[in-house]
Amino acid sequence: MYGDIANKLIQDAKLTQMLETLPLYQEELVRSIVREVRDLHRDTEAVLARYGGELPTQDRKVACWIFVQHLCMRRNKRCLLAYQRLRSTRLDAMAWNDVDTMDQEVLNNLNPNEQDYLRDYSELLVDYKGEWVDVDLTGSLEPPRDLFIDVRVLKDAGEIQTEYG
Amino acid sequence: MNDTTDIDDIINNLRDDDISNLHSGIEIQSSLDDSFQQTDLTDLKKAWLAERMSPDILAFQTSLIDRLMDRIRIQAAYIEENSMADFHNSGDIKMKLLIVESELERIKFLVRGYLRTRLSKIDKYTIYIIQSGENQQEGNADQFDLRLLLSPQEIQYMERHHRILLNLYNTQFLSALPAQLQRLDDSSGGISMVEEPDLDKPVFIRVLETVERPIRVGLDEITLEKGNIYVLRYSAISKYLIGGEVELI
Repeated sequence: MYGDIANKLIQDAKLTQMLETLPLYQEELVRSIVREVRDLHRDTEAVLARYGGELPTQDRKVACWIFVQHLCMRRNKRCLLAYQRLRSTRLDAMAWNDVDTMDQEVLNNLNPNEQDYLRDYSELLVDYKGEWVDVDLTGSLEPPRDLFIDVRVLKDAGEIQTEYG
Repeated sequence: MNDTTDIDDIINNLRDDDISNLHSGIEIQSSLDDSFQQTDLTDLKKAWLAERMSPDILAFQTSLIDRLMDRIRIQAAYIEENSMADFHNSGDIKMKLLIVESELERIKFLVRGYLRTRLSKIDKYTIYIIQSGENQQEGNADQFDLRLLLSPQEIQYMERHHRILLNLYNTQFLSALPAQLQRLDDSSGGISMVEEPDLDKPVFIRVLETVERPIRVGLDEITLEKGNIYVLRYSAISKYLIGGEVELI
Protein backbone atom coordinates (compact mmCIF):
# COMPACT_ATOMS: atom_id res chain seq x y z
CA MET A 1 0.00 0.00 0.00
CA TYR A 2 1.02 3.60 -0.49
CA GLY A 3 3.25 4.89 2.23
CA ASP A 4 4.23 1.53 3.65
CA ILE A 5 7.91 2.00 2.98
CA ALA A 6 7.83 5.44 4.55
CA ASN A 7 6.43 3.84 7.67
CA LYS A 8 9.52 1.67 7.89
CA LEU A 9 11.69 4.75 7.65
CA ILE A 10 9.80 6.43 10.45
CA GLN A 11 10.18 3.32 12.59
CA ASP A 12 13.89 3.50 11.97
CA ALA A 13 13.87 7.16 12.98
CA LYS A 14 12.01 6.27 16.15
CA LEU A 15 14.62 3.67 16.94
CA THR A 16 17.36 6.21 16.23
CA GLN A 17 15.93 8.51 18.88
CA MET A 18 16.57 5.87 21.49
CA LEU A 19 20.09 5.03 20.40
CA GLU A 20 23.25 6.73 21.55
CA THR A 21 24.91 6.60 18.16
CA LEU A 22 23.47 7.02 14.71
CA PRO A 23 22.56 3.72 13.03
CA LEU A 24 23.31 2.99 9.39
CA TYR A 25 21.75 5.32 6.84
CA GLN A 26 18.79 3.60 5.17
CA GLU A 27 19.90 4.21 1.62
CA GLU A 28 17.69 1.52 0.12
CA LEU A 29 14.53 2.65 1.94
CA VAL A 30 15.07 6.27 0.99
CA ARG A 31 15.60 5.35 -2.62
CA SER A 32 12.46 3.22 -2.80
CA ILE A 33 10.40 6.00 -1.23
CA VAL A 34 11.68 8.45 -3.81
CA ARG A 35 10.83 5.91 -6.49
CA GLU A 36 7.33 5.54 -5.05
CA VAL A 37 6.81 9.30 -5.13
CA ARG A 38 7.93 9.45 -8.75
CA ASP A 39 5.64 6.59 -9.70
CA LEU A 40 2.70 8.24 -7.97
CA HIS A 41 3.54 11.49 -9.68
CA ARG A 42 3.81 9.89 -13.12
CA ASP A 43 0.47 8.11 -12.77
CA THR A 44 -1.21 11.26 -11.55
CA GLU A 45 0.19 13.33 -14.38
CA ALA A 46 -0.94 10.75 -16.90
CA VAL A 47 -4.51 10.83 -15.61
CA LEU A 48 -4.49 14.61 -15.38
CA ALA A 49 -3.28 14.82 -18.97
CA ARG A 50 -6.33 12.87 -20.06
CA TYR A 51 -8.48 15.60 -18.54
CA GLY A 52 -6.43 18.32 -20.16
CA GLY A 53 -4.32 19.14 -17.09
CA GLU A 54 -7.32 20.36 -15.09
CA LEU A 55 -8.70 18.70 -11.98
CA PRO A 56 -11.87 16.90 -13.20
CA THR A 57 -14.30 18.35 -10.68
CA GLN A 58 -17.23 16.74 -12.50
CA ASP A 59 -15.89 13.24 -12.09
CA ARG A 60 -15.66 12.94 -8.32
CA LYS A 61 -14.17 9.46 -8.36
CA VAL A 62 -11.16 10.58 -10.37
CA ALA A 63 -10.79 13.81 -8.40
CA CYS A 64 -10.72 11.85 -5.18
CA TRP A 65 -8.15 9.46 -6.57
CA ILE A 66 -5.88 12.32 -7.57
CA PHE A 67 -6.29 13.88 -4.14
CA VAL A 68 -5.21 10.66 -2.43
CA GLN A 69 -2.23 10.35 -4.75
CA HIS A 70 -1.17 13.86 -3.80
CA LEU A 71 -1.56 13.24 -0.09
CA CYS A 72 0.60 10.13 -0.36
CA MET A 73 3.33 12.01 -2.15
CA ARG A 74 3.34 14.73 0.45
CA ARG A 75 3.31 12.28 3.28
CA ASN A 76 6.29 10.48 1.80
CA LYS A 77 8.12 13.74 1.46
CA ARG A 78 7.44 14.66 5.05
CA CYS A 79 8.68 11.27 6.21
CA LEU A 80 11.89 11.69 4.26
CA LEU A 81 12.43 15.15 5.67
CA ALA A 82 11.68 14.07 9.22
CA TYR A 83 14.15 11.23 8.91
CA GLN A 84 16.91 13.41 7.50
CA ARG A 85 16.15 16.20 9.95
CA LEU A 86 16.57 13.87 12.89
CA ARG A 87 19.86 12.62 11.54
CA SER A 88 21.21 16.07 10.74
CA THR A 89 20.30 17.30 14.22
CA ARG A 90 22.26 14.38 15.61
CA LEU A 91 25.16 15.27 13.35
CA ASP A 92 25.04 18.82 14.70
CA ALA A 93 25.18 17.48 18.23
CA MET A 94 28.17 15.36 17.26
CA ALA A 95 29.95 18.44 15.98
CA TRP A 96 29.22 20.27 19.25
CA ASN A 97 30.52 17.35 21.29
CA ASP A 98 33.69 17.43 19.28
CA VAL A 99 33.41 13.96 17.79
CA ASP A 100 36.38 13.24 15.61
CA THR A 101 35.10 13.79 12.06
CA MET A 102 37.79 11.51 10.69
CA ASP A 103 36.91 8.59 12.93
CA GLN A 104 35.98 5.69 10.65
CA GLU A 105 33.61 4.13 13.16
CA VAL A 106 31.56 7.29 13.20
CA LEU A 107 31.66 7.75 9.45
CA ASN A 108 30.73 4.19 8.56
CA ASN A 109 27.08 4.71 9.43
CA LEU A 110 26.79 7.92 7.44
CA ASN A 111 26.34 8.14 3.73
CA PRO A 112 28.77 10.38 1.76
CA ASN A 113 26.45 13.39 1.74
CA GLU A 114 26.05 13.21 5.49
CA GLN A 115 29.80 12.98 5.89
CA ASP A 116 30.15 16.15 3.85
CA TYR A 117 27.51 17.82 5.96
CA LEU A 118 29.21 16.85 9.20
CA ARG A 119 32.49 18.24 7.95
CA ASP A 120 30.88 21.47 6.75
CA TYR A 121 29.01 21.99 9.98
CA SER A 122 32.10 21.34 12.08
CA GLU A 123 33.93 23.98 10.06
CA LEU A 124 31.07 26.40 10.52
CA LEU A 125 31.11 25.77 14.23
CA VAL A 126 34.85 26.32 14.50
CA ASP A 127 34.38 29.66 12.77
CA TYR A 128 31.55 30.74 15.03
CA LYS A 129 33.33 29.56 18.16
CA GLY A 130 36.37 31.50 17.00
CA GLU A 131 34.42 34.70 17.68
CA TRP A 132 33.97 33.67 21.30
CA VAL A 133 37.21 31.99 22.37
CA ASP A 134 37.08 33.70 25.74
CA VAL A 135 33.90 32.04 26.91
CA ASP A 136 34.53 28.60 25.40
CA LEU A 137 31.16 27.97 23.77
CA THR A 138 31.38 24.19 23.96
CA GLY A 139 32.06 24.38 27.68
CA SER A 140 29.72 22.93 30.23
CA LEU A 141 26.16 24.15 30.32
CA GLU A 142 25.92 23.28 34.00
CA PRO A 143 26.34 26.32 36.24
CA PRO A 144 29.77 26.36 37.87
CA ARG A 145 29.66 25.81 41.63
CA ASP A 146 33.20 25.76 42.76
CA LEU A 147 36.61 26.03 41.26
CA PHE A 148 37.85 23.32 43.54
CA ILE A 149 36.58 20.12 44.96
CA ASP A 150 36.64 19.36 48.66
CA VAL A 151 38.95 16.66 49.86
CA ARG A 152 39.49 15.21 53.25
CA VAL A 153 43.06 14.20 53.91
CA LEU A 154 43.10 10.61 55.04
CA LYS A 155 46.80 10.00 54.86
CA ASP A 156 49.67 12.40 54.91
CA ALA A 157 50.40 12.87 51.21
CA GLY A 158 53.33 15.22 51.56
CA GLU A 159 53.66 18.46 49.68
CA ILE A 160 51.64 18.91 46.51
CA GLN A 161 51.97 21.55 43.83
CA THR A 162 48.93 23.48 42.59
CA GLU A 163 48.28 26.04 39.93
CA TYR A 164 48.80 28.84 42.42
CA GLY A 165 51.90 27.37 44.00
CA MET B 1 30.02 17.68 55.62
CA ASN B 2 28.63 20.90 54.34
CA ASP B 3 30.71 21.70 51.29
CA THR B 4 30.23 25.45 51.43
CA THR B 5 31.43 26.08 54.97
CA ASP B 6 35.08 26.31 54.12
CA ILE B 7 34.77 29.04 51.57
CA ASP B 8 32.28 30.89 53.75
CA ASP B 9 34.70 30.78 56.65
CA ILE B 10 37.44 32.23 54.55
CA ILE B 11 35.22 35.01 53.34
CA ASN B 12 34.05 35.82 56.88
CA ASN B 13 37.62 35.94 58.05
CA LEU B 14 38.63 38.49 55.48
CA ARG B 15 39.44 41.76 57.11
CA ASP B 16 37.87 44.91 55.76
CA ASP B 17 41.07 46.17 54.25
CA ASP B 18 41.42 42.89 52.42
CA ILE B 19 38.08 43.50 50.87
CA SER B 20 38.91 47.02 49.83
CA ASN B 21 42.17 45.70 48.39
CA LEU B 22 40.16 43.19 46.52
CA HIS B 23 37.89 45.79 45.11
CA SER B 24 40.72 47.97 43.97
CA GLY B 25 42.33 44.89 42.49
CA ILE B 26 39.28 44.14 40.45
CA GLU B 27 38.34 47.63 39.49
CA ILE B 28 41.70 49.10 38.68
CA GLN B 29 41.83 46.67 35.81
CA SER B 30 38.96 48.27 34.07
CA SER B 31 39.15 51.56 32.24
CA LEU B 32 35.46 51.43 31.53
CA ASP B 33 32.79 53.62 32.96
CA ASP B 34 32.06 52.67 36.58
CA SER B 35 28.35 53.11 36.38
CA PHE B 36 28.13 50.36 33.80
CA GLN B 37 29.85 47.83 36.01
CA GLN B 38 27.12 47.17 38.51
CA THR B 39 24.27 47.10 36.07
CA ASP B 40 25.99 45.05 33.40
CA LEU B 41 25.97 41.87 35.41
CA THR B 42 22.33 42.32 36.34
CA ASP B 43 21.55 43.07 32.71
CA LEU B 44 23.36 39.96 31.58
CA LYS B 45 21.41 37.80 33.99
CA LYS B 46 18.21 39.42 32.81
CA ALA B 47 19.08 38.95 29.14
CA TRP B 48 20.01 35.33 29.72
CA LEU B 49 16.82 34.59 31.60
CA ALA B 50 14.62 36.41 29.11
CA GLU B 51 16.23 34.62 26.20
CA ARG B 52 15.70 31.26 27.85
CA MET B 53 12.09 31.95 28.72
CA SER B 54 10.74 33.71 25.66
CA PRO B 55 9.49 31.54 22.81
CA ASP B 56 10.85 33.79 20.06
CA ILE B 57 14.25 35.33 19.59
CA LEU B 58 15.01 38.68 21.25
CA ALA B 59 17.35 41.45 20.15
CA PHE B 60 21.02 40.66 20.52
CA GLN B 61 22.55 42.71 23.34
CA THR B 62 25.46 43.94 21.26
CA SER B 63 26.91 46.65 23.48
CA LEU B 64 26.34 44.73 26.71
CA ILE B 65 28.09 41.64 25.40
CA ASP B 66 30.91 43.72 23.90
CA ARG B 67 31.57 45.43 27.24
CA LEU B 68 31.47 42.16 29.13
CA MET B 69 33.76 40.40 26.68
CA ASP B 70 36.28 43.22 27.03
CA ARG B 71 36.20 42.86 30.76
CA ILE B 72 36.42 39.07 30.66
CA ARG B 73 39.59 39.44 28.61
CA ILE B 74 41.03 41.95 31.06
CA GLN B 75 40.27 39.78 34.06
CA ALA B 76 41.65 36.67 32.43
CA ALA B 77 44.87 38.56 31.70
CA TYR B 78 44.91 39.77 35.31
CA ILE B 79 44.68 36.23 36.65
CA GLU B 80 47.36 35.06 34.24
CA GLU B 81 49.73 37.84 35.25
CA ASN B 82 49.35 37.47 38.98
CA SER B 83 49.38 33.71 39.18
CA MET B 84 52.71 33.79 37.39
CA ALA B 85 54.33 36.81 39.01
CA ASP B 86 53.32 36.19 42.60
CA PHE B 87 54.07 32.56 42.67
CA HIS B 88 55.64 32.79 46.11
CA ASN B 89 53.38 35.45 47.46
CA SER B 90 51.22 35.21 50.54
CA GLY B 91 47.70 33.86 50.74
CA ASP B 92 46.25 37.28 50.07
CA ILE B 93 46.74 37.31 46.36
CA LYS B 94 45.69 33.68 46.06
CA MET B 95 42.43 34.40 47.77
CA LYS B 96 41.87 37.35 45.52
CA LEU B 97 42.57 35.33 42.40
CA LEU B 98 40.30 32.61 43.63
CA ILE B 99 37.38 34.95 43.92
CA VAL B 100 38.09 36.67 40.63
CA GLU B 101 38.31 33.34 38.88
CA SER B 102 35.11 31.98 40.41
CA GLU B 103 33.26 35.09 39.37
CA LEU B 104 34.77 34.95 35.93
CA GLU B 105 33.61 31.36 35.49
CA ARG B 106 30.10 32.38 36.46
CA ILE B 107 30.01 35.20 33.96
CA LYS B 108 31.41 32.99 31.24
CA PHE B 109 28.70 30.48 32.03
CA LEU B 110 26.03 33.15 31.59
CA VAL B 111 27.46 34.42 28.31
CA ARG B 112 27.83 30.86 27.03
CA GLY B 113 24.27 30.00 28.01
CA TYR B 114 23.01 33.17 26.40
CA LEU B 115 24.74 32.52 23.09
CA ARG B 116 23.85 28.84 22.96
CA THR B 117 20.19 29.50 23.71
CA ARG B 118 20.11 31.92 20.82
CA LEU B 119 21.82 29.46 18.50
CA SER B 120 19.33 26.74 19.31
CA LYS B 121 16.47 29.11 18.50
CA ILE B 122 18.17 30.21 15.31
CA ASP B 123 18.59 26.59 14.24
CA LYS B 124 15.00 25.78 15.05
CA TYR B 125 13.37 28.74 13.34
CA THR B 126 15.85 29.34 10.50
CA ILE B 127 13.30 29.35 7.67
CA TYR B 128 10.84 31.40 9.70
CA ILE B 129 13.49 34.06 10.32
CA ILE B 130 14.65 34.13 6.72
CA GLN B 131 11.08 34.38 5.47
CA SER B 132 10.30 37.29 7.77
CA GLY B 133 13.04 39.24 6.01
CA GLU B 134 11.78 38.29 2.56
CA ASN B 135 8.20 39.18 3.41
CA GLN B 136 9.26 42.58 4.54
CA GLN B 137 11.24 43.24 1.41
CA GLU B 138 8.13 42.42 -0.57
CA GLY B 139 6.46 45.31 1.16
CA ASN B 140 4.52 43.39 3.75
CA ALA B 141 4.72 45.92 6.56
CA ASP B 142 3.07 43.74 9.23
CA GLN B 143 6.02 41.48 9.40
CA PHE B 144 9.10 42.53 11.27
CA ASP B 145 12.41 41.49 9.79
CA LEU B 146 13.65 39.17 12.51
CA ARG B 147 17.15 39.19 11.09
CA LEU B 148 17.59 42.66 12.57
CA LEU B 149 17.57 41.00 15.99
CA LEU B 150 20.61 38.87 15.24
CA SER B 151 24.25 39.80 15.50
CA PRO B 152 26.26 39.79 12.25
CA GLN B 153 27.98 36.58 13.33
CA GLU B 154 24.65 34.93 14.05
CA ILE B 155 23.32 35.88 10.63
CA GLN B 156 26.42 34.42 9.06
CA TYR B 157 26.02 31.27 11.09
CA MET B 158 22.36 30.94 10.21
CA GLU B 159 22.84 31.46 6.49
CA ARG B 160 25.72 29.06 6.26
CA HIS B 161 23.96 26.40 8.29
CA HIS B 162 20.83 26.78 6.18
CA ARG B 163 22.88 26.47 3.02
CA ILE B 164 24.63 23.24 3.99
CA LEU B 165 21.42 21.77 5.37
CA LEU B 166 19.57 22.57 2.15
CA ASN B 167 22.41 21.07 0.22
CA LEU B 168 22.15 17.90 2.28
CA TYR B 169 18.39 17.55 1.71
CA ASN B 170 18.78 18.24 -1.97
CA THR B 171 21.53 15.75 -2.62
CA GLN B 172 19.89 13.10 -0.45
CA PHE B 173 16.44 13.05 -2.00
CA LEU B 174 14.76 16.40 -2.63
CA SER B 175 16.25 16.94 -6.09
CA ALA B 176 14.97 13.51 -7.13
CA LEU B 177 11.37 14.39 -6.29
CA PRO B 178 8.96 15.96 -8.78
CA ALA B 179 9.55 19.67 -9.20
CA GLN B 180 6.55 20.89 -7.24
CA LEU B 181 7.57 18.84 -4.22
CA GLN B 182 11.09 20.18 -3.97
CA ARG B 183 10.50 23.19 -1.78
CA LEU B 184 11.27 23.15 1.92
CA ASP B 185 8.79 25.87 2.85
CA ASP B 186 5.87 24.02 1.36
CA SER B 187 2.54 24.93 2.89
CA SER B 188 0.17 23.41 0.34
CA GLY B 189 -1.65 20.34 1.54
CA GLY B 190 -2.90 22.22 4.58
CA ILE B 191 0.14 21.85 6.84
CA SER B 192 2.86 24.46 6.93
CA MET B 193 6.28 22.90 6.94
CA VAL B 194 7.92 25.93 8.50
CA GLU B 195 8.33 25.71 12.23
CA GLU B 196 7.21 28.87 14.00
CA PRO B 197 7.69 29.88 17.61
CA ASP B 198 4.61 29.45 19.76
CA LEU B 199 3.95 33.05 20.71
CA ASP B 200 1.01 32.06 22.87
CA LYS B 201 3.20 30.14 25.24
CA PRO B 202 2.53 31.15 28.85
CA VAL B 203 5.40 32.96 30.55
CA PHE B 204 6.04 34.25 34.04
CA ILE B 205 6.62 37.97 34.22
CA ARG B 206 7.44 40.52 36.88
CA VAL B 207 6.17 44.04 36.31
CA LEU B 208 8.80 46.75 36.65
CA GLU B 209 6.65 49.74 35.70
CA THR B 210 2.90 49.91 36.09
CA VAL B 211 1.19 49.89 32.71
CA GLU B 212 -1.76 52.25 32.93
CA ARG B 213 -3.80 50.89 30.07
CA PRO B 214 -5.29 47.52 31.00
CA ILE B 215 -4.41 44.69 28.65
CA ARG B 216 -6.95 42.31 27.25
CA VAL B 217 -6.52 38.59 27.85
CA GLY B 218 -9.38 36.64 26.38
CA LEU B 219 -12.46 38.06 28.10
CA ASP B 220 -10.61 39.53 31.06
CA GLU B 221 -8.83 42.82 31.42
CA ILE B 222 -5.70 43.03 33.50
CA THR B 223 -3.77 46.02 34.73
CA LEU B 224 -0.09 45.28 35.08
CA GLU B 225 0.93 46.71 38.43
CA LYS B 226 4.46 47.31 39.53
CA GLY B 227 6.02 44.52 41.56
CA ASN B 228 3.38 41.96 40.74
CA ILE B 229 4.06 38.61 39.14
CA TYR B 230 1.77 37.21 36.47
CA VAL B 231 1.53 34.19 34.22
CA LEU B 232 0.35 35.41 30.83
CA ARG B 233 0.56 34.47 27.21
CA TYR B 234 3.78 35.73 25.70
CA SER B 235 1.91 37.44 22.86
CA ALA B 236 0.01 39.59 25.37
CA ILE B 237 3.11 41.08 26.95
CA SER B 238 5.84 40.92 24.32
CA LYS B 239 5.63 44.62 23.56
CA TYR B 240 6.02 45.53 27.24
CA LEU B 241 9.03 43.24 27.43
CA ILE B 242 10.72 45.19 24.65
CA GLY B 243 9.66 48.46 26.27
CA GLY B 244 11.20 47.34 29.56
CA GLU B 245 7.98 47.59 31.62
CA VAL B 246 8.08 43.89 32.45
CA GLU B 247 10.77 41.25 32.75
CA LEU B 248 10.62 37.50 32.28
CA ILE B 249 11.37 35.35 35.28
